[in-house]
Amino acid sequence: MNGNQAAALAVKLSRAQVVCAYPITPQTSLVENIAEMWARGNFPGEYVSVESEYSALSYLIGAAYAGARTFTATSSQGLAYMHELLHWASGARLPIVMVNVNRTLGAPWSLEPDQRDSLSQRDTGWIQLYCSDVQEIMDTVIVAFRLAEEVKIPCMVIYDGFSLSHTYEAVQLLRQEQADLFLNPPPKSALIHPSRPQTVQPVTDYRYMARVVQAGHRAMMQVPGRLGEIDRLFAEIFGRKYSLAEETNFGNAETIFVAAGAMAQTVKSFLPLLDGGEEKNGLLRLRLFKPLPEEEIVSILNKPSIKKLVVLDRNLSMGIGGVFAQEIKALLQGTGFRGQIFELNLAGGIDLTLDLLRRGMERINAWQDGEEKIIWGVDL
Amino acid sequence: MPLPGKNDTLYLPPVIETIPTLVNKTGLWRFLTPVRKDKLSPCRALCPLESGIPLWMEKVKKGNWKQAWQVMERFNPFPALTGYACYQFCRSECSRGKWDEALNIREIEKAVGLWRQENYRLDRVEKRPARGKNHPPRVVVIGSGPAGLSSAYYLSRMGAEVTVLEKEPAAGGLLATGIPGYRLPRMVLEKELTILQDEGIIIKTGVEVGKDFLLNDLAANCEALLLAVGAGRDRRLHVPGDNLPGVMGAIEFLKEINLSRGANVSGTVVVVGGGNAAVDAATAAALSGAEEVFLVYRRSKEAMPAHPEEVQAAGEAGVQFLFNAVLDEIHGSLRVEKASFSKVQPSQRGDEIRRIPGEGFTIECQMIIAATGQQGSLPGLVPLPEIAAGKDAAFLETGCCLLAAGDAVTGPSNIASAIFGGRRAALKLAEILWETGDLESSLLPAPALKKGQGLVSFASLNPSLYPQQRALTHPQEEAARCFGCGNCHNCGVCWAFCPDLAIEYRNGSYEFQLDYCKGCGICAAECPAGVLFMEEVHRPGTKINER
Repeated sequence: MNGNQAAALAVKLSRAQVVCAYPITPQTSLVENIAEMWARGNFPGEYVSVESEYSALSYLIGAAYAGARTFTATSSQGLAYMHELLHWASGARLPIVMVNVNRTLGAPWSLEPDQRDSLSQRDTGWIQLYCSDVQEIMDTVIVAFRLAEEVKIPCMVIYDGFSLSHTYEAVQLLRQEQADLFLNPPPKSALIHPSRPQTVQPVTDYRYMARVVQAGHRAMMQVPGRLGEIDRLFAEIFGRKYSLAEETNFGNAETIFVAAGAMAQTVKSFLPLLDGGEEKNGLLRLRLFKPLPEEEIVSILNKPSIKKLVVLDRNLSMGIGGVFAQEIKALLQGTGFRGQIFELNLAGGIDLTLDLLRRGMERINAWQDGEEKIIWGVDL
Repeated sequence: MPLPGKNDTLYLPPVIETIPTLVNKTGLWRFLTPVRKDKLSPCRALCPLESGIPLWMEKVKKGNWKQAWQVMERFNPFPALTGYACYQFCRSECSRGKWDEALNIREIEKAVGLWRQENYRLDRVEKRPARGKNHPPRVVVIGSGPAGLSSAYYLSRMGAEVTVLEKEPAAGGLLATGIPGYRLPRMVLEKELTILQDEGIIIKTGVEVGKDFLLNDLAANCEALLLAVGAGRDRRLHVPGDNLPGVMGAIEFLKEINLSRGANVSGTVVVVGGGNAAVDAATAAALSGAEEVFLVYRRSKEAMPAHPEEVQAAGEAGVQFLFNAVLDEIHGSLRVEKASFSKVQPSQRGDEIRRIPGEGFTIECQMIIAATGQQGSLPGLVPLPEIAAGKDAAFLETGCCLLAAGDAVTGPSNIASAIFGGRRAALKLAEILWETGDLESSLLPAPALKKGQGLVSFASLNPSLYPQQRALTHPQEEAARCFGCGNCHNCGVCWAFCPDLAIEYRNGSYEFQLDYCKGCGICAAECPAGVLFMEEVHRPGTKINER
């Protein structure tokens, strides 16, 4: 099945009670899959049609206040349209789960799997999990429900448009009884009810707000630890083991690629081809991006053999550089990391090929002091 | 600085104001207030019966025929008759006509009428004693035309004992004698008469006042006499030869045809006149064996008082029209042989007729039908001019009240106007016959419209809520096309659009909760029936510029 089908099935298995979404390429078939299951009576929850992404998330905020397990999905402009409500959902600590299928933000219109849409929502207080294959999409959706409900923080499950959303891969299906064992029953914390008209979260002053954001931060800092526990539980029940940050290093790698999403999977398969099996290259795959699992990443990167980091960013914060690269740089600050950090930037949705990666590495290997450390995929 | 929670708090439950949001009366921000004002729909404004068309249409929309009839009844007790034979004045200005196609109101009315005939159950009302008497008022209605029958119906429903007298052998007045069977099937009229008799109304045919009864004798034995004798006899042609055999009045001719006395129609027939009676007579002649039928009218086609629908039917029946000509003389030794005409200058109604010297023609014919108007049959019967004008009731020495209604008052009109006349007379008599408050309002005929109720404008409607759709044949589907102009029909569009939940559905209707209405005006803009308006309503003690 493809990524969208896998996500839809996982939503069903998670027994989501309210699904409300607005279709947008490349997420459309995900919503259609859920709507079709619902229309055939095969979906346990309610599926609600709305006229925009803004309304979709507004609806779910209401449903989540009323205590329902909720899900939505979007892409690109749709996610940007939800922006204001992303803050509300996290501020209200509502465990909404959302799939975002990466797609370029206009202008001009484009459908390529650029990551700017989800990364520009980095500071909205949502957990972000990046998937790199179809199996992981199915597994991550169900993990996201458990995680979001435990820490009361909304969670975004993110994967690349087309290269994952529309690409078919063999998938080991989750079974309903396993899913029921893994997930708690939906939370029963109904804050609102039609029979009790009341104002939820009215105007407050800085004193309360200061605690709200501080508590949100503290809760966010719990996420790596909690996700680690949930991953162990998942491995027990389903037999597949995920880590917060996945390392591929055969011992003495000198160059470590850093990537998230489908690109990480691509680089992993290129590793033996790049250095002819000399095992000089390794990979750090970012799975949990928001918040970054600091401890795990430092332990993977801060090794004396590592000379270079090459961060692959299919995104760009104009005036700064790739977002992943900036996060890694900030994280390594003060850890004693001695290597050089290069960016291979594929913003605009450039497809990563072996040839492109080789030419990028040639540039990096020939790099001299004073030259720009961003290697532009578009120039290769 | 007192802070809630602690530095290591992971989750703060959301703040919830336990006071409901209702405490915040956002209506205070309002400077325009939505006001519901029912307006007059164009159909109702044009209907001689002032029928509350949107009111019963709303019931038909929902398929509730019984309620549709109950609403209809107070305006028009004979929708089956008008459904066949009314000239549907209502349709000409239907707002729907400005959107796609005017609503076929008459067909829906017919459907209500036929439903009523089909589903009629005997439903006699309790007779109520008359004012100051210990027995119900006895009312004698003279004339069984639409005016007489409608007043009889309403008076009987209100609790009177009603007798209708008809001089012809068949009841119905012009319904039976003037309107051809192809326009109003006789079975429909028969059924209506049967229902009236079942309701306890006594209809006596073949009895003529002045011949079989004397007015004074009738007056001695009843509380009210209603004169609904119709517009009366045909006016003579007043040309040489107008007394020859073969010259007939249109009403007389139609009566003979419709009562099947076997009017001998053959050869060429000339009808003189341009009203409905002329066109009906010409059509009837053409359909009853005449070889050729000419209708000669002294003015142009546009000036004809006849309803265009009738004119078209006459043309289809083969009637030939000759306009701008006047009859000069009828020739013949023993009976009509030919008629000579002068051509006149084209003129509009009200203009003087001017012959064009030396231009004329003759038509050889066997029959001439005069349809140049009718003269009332009241004057001989009625002593007082106010009664003849239908304005007031008079009291005879016996205490009997005397009133006139229908064509006898208005002159030749149409079925709907006559039914309306009967309805109005019944209301007027009710005020005299019973103590006020004795009657249930549901039994009363609807009063006439008060002047000054504004006509709904197309601009105030919101037709975009209706898909464009031509007229439909199924009555209920067709009724669903009705905009309900100017009449709130609880569609709930205002409720659906109100962003402040300031409209509530309570006890079967939508109500404004003005405490929470900010006066945005969306309800007024969206109202499909054009009954909501935004108005500046001042709260006591506030001035606009003080806010």
